[in-house]
Amino acid sequence: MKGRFSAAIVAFAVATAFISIGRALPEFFVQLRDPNLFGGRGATWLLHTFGFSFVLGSCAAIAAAALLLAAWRTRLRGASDWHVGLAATFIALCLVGRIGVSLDPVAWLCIAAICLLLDRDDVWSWTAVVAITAAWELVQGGATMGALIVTLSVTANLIERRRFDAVAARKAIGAVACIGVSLVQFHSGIFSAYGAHALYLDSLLGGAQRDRLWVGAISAQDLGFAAIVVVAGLYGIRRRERLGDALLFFALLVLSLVDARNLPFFGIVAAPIVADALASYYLERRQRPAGSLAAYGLAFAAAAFAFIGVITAVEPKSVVWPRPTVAPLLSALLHRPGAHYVLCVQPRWCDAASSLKTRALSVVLDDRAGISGPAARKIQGDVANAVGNWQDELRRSNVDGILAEQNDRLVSLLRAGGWQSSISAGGAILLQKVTGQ
Amino acid sequence: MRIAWAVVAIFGARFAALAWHYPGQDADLSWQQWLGQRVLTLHHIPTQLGFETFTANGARWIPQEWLFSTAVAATLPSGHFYILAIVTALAGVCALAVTAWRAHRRGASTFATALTTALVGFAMMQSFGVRAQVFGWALLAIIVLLLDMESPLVFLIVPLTIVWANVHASALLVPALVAFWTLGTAIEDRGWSARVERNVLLTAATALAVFITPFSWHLPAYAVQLQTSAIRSAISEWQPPDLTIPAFFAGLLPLIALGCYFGIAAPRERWRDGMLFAVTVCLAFTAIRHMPLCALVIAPMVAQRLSNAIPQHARLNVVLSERFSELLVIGSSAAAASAIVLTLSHVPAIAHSSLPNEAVAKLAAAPGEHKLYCEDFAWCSMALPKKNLRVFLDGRCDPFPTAVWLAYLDVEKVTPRWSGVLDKYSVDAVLAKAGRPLAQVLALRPGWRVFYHDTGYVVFVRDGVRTAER
Repeated sequence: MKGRFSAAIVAFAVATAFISIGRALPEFFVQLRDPNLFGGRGATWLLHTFGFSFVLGSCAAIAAAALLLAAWRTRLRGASDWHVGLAATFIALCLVGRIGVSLDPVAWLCIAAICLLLDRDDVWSWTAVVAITAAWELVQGGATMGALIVTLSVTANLIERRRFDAVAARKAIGAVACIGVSLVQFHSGIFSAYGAHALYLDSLLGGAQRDRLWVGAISAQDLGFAAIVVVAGLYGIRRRERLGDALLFFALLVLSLVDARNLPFFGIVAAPIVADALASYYLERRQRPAGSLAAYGLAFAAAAFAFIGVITAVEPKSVVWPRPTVAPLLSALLHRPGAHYVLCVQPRWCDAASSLKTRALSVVLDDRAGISGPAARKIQGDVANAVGNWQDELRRSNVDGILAEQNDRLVSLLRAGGWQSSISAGGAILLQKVTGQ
Repeated sequence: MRIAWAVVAIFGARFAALAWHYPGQDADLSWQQWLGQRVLTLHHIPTQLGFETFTANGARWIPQEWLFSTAVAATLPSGHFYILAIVTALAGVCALAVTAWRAHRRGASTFATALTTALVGFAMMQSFGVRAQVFGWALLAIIVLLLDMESPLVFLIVPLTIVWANVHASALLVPALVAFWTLGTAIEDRGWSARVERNVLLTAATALAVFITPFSWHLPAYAVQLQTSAIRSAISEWQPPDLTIPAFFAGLLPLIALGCYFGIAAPRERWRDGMLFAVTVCLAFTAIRHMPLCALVIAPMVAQRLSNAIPQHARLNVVLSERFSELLVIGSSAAAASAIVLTLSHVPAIAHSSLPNEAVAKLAAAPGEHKLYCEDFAWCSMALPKKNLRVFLDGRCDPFPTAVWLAYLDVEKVTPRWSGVLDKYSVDAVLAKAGRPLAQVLALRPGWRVFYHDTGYVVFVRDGVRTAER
């Protein structure tokens, strides 16, 4: 056993996990309706043409491709097959919390490709980095992450070289181009808000949706995070004398602590670095990869087509997205005439409003806190925590529907204030303002 | 090393200032005083909850902090609390100083020792108080120093573990740490060696040492059970550290980052260090209260690795070692320490009590017996000495059954079951923070009226309950 297929086996496990979970992430419904994201339109076209199973299989294959690219990057650094398998396992653990249909796998693939190209150092690679960043921005909108990584890498390179020559100039131009293309918004939108949301920095704003590591029972993604940090601590990422590695590692580490939705990026960027640091202590096992990326790519494409083909063929064809669990609650609100304004105690629930495709229902705040105004965030924060003048704020803003957890304090408080609770689904309950209040 | 002492002095001043004003900040001292007085007067440690609670009378109780509680009872009522405050601050200083000395022993440079000592100080700030676990920090620092020394003195760890187990249940960490140290030794020695044999013996001895308390095997069982207890979700110190906590982003996280950058184990084949790094870092990510433990263990390792990059002969360290620099740093530290003491003594949140002493006293002065629910269970600790007040849940928290905890959380989180819980347990008085959801919902609830309120707290009693005002 030489562990040659260890990374491929892990990638297959990740793809299978996508199929077995078979859900769509709540954020996906917001992405579908975002006019700046062409990935949403593409996904809708694929759904109507080939069905949901095809989209699900494609997401699984793209996630597996991202993992294998990161594994290839580890391999290119001279790590043995077993160390590559270890890196792939770390990445897989980091992905667990975000498995589901969304545009995220596209971002994972882009970041894996950019990191791979940054490890190379030629004009072709830099052109490809800019092109990938542009494509990423158009399809998924999170290219700020790519621009950040490229900028950190160039900065580290400049610090290491201590001179600004033609090579440094070429890299600086590449970084500026990446930053530039990550600014592209075809249909309005404030860049800073999008940029902050792409890095999930907006999750630190009051009232915003925030996913944290290590909350509640220890999860697979907590283990993935801990494993990378512990291996880095044992072996040291300084070992390879690459400042770029260190900057990327720490930037993504902090971003993961800001919001757990950044953890897959940390895994894809950092796992090859720590696996390489580990492998560098076992010189006798170091190997250079055999074969070309193109050949492996072709083999992977064949496997991916077979995988998607089988999934599409065996699953019943459905041309609608799986309904978010709280969507029935929002639909119930639409039974009343007029426009409705909804507040969700967990902003993520309000992502489901995008799946209803109606102008009669708007939400105070959904996943994208950075894009919303400070007033909306204040209402969200005050009402969700029932602090300050939350009842006045609720009245002034004309909120007529609230989605809260069934055990939430708001349920008791609003019922005491005359609101009605009617139906519940997915752990949430809909509270409606009684007409005439 | 003098620079590191100056850093220790600054944090020592902060610890002392916080400890001095601590009785007004932490309601837990009330139940500790109550427990200590029972130990002093009855000459035995209670092992069951008594009549003071109406929800869990007779429940088994492991008062693991009995020794510390006795110290509180011996000092607080007689006005000598300052002695305990100073001793606790000294325990914090001891932990920092021993950690700095450990770094110095390992050959860490002046800058590295001072930097890591400061980071440990920051990591300790979040959890510091006149609390039993602070003595655990000092003992942990000494224990890892003894492990570092690799001498026959290492067996002093056994009596130290016994002392720690009688002060706080966190002593259970010692056998785990020694076991991981032993594992690291085995990796370094590539098999069974005299060192490994000694460390295995030490692991077994420390494992036995945690049984040498008045609670024998119940203490380890209690500590293990606590790891999966429902109460953890309701206690802020059991929550995972976050970037918004200064002690994490300015204390522990930089230490971990430096460790990750330089590498703790492999570069020098120090697998003993590596094992301790791995276990304490994982522990620290799970709960805020573990941050100081991790920082105390890993700081000297980080200082040692940092010194490889910035050795003692580097310009920075040479400058820091000059007499003028030393005088400058020591002088500045003395000024900073004085400023900290003077400033903190005037900060309202620290110098003045933020506890509902008056609300509890008013309710206790009302005629009749009251069954009191406190929105923050720690506040009910202040009601324990009051003969006519019985509490739903108080700061002893651990011995209360899970059903009581869930019922407490129903009311605290104002779930739809909240009023049913108050009815079920016949609660007739509720102490809540003014303006918070529980106070809002009680104000709207028929059958309850305000008995007392001030700017921070409000006490509701049921209509029909006899009080002085009626």
